[in-house]
Amino acid sequence: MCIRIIGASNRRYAHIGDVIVAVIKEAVPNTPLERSEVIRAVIVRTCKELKRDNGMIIRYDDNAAVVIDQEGNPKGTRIFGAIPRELRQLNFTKIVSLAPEVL
Amino acid sequence: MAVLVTLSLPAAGAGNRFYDDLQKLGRLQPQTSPATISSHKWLPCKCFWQLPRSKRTTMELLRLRCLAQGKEAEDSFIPNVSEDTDDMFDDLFDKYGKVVYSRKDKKPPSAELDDDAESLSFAVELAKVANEVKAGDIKVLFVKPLVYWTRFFIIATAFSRPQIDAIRSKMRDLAEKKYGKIPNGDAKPNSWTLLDFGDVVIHIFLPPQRAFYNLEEFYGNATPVELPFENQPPMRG
Repeated sequence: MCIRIIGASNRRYAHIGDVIVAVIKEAVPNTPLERSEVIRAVIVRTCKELKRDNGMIIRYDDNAAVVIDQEGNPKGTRIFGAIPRELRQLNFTKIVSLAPEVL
Repeated sequence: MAVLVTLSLPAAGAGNRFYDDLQKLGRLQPQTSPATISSHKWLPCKCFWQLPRSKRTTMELLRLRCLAQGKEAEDSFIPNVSEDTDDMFDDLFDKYGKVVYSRKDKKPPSAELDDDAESLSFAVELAKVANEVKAGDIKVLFVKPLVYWTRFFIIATAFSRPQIDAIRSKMRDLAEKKYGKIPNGDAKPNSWTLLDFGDVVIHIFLPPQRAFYNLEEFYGNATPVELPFENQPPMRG
């Protein structure tokens, strides 16, 4: 569950590439991340459309974020699913280089 | 007569240029040589002179010819097209069909190869710098076939944060001085420091992070590039 968007004052919704502070509502057992932990995460996929300058519009089936630490390194080792190339411009090249597919 | 001679010289030049254009496109018929084109003294010099140097290509000429045929070639703006050129164009039409336009922003394969070579030399240079600062286990991977967004990965291990900082600043200096490139990426030394030069992306890890993220395995299908300093024996102090 998202608590707050970092670097924005009073913004209601986060978009792709935003860093958010979130709390883990549900977690798989025996993983480094526990339930009710407060973490940082980068939004990588949204159901809301992402518009590009060339007129392309990208919309994913789900909302997804990648958990990162304070330094910006991803907490996990691999990323599943497609991510947009805008993340590279926003200096999340580490996430892009771990992703299997970049749109 | 003297006038004719002076006229024919630029015509020959233009013919050669035209021939070059054709050669570039790889569409020249083998039987028409530049000699045959330039040997006609009455060759449509006007037509060639109307063409700006490089912009108009054979394709446009073909299109002009098309128009000319449509309007009953006699009163069109290319009045004196020789039989040879006619045949040549007809052959081209037979061979390649209608005029096909390619995208203008598309690079020819040779330019692509040049870019690859340039990036490769840049990557090897950076790897050398990393080796000078005693980074361990340096690998240069050609990842262009796997991902579209970059060409080369350099993966290196540093053994402390000051060393990461040293590698980072040295690479940054070299890139800026020699190649005029400024990297994106981490501003501070980090356990996984990333420098993004566009075509070349550099990952500098601390040993535990390198084992944790295991990027080499993830990009296992990429071609490793041989480095010149790899085969040298380590220096003994």
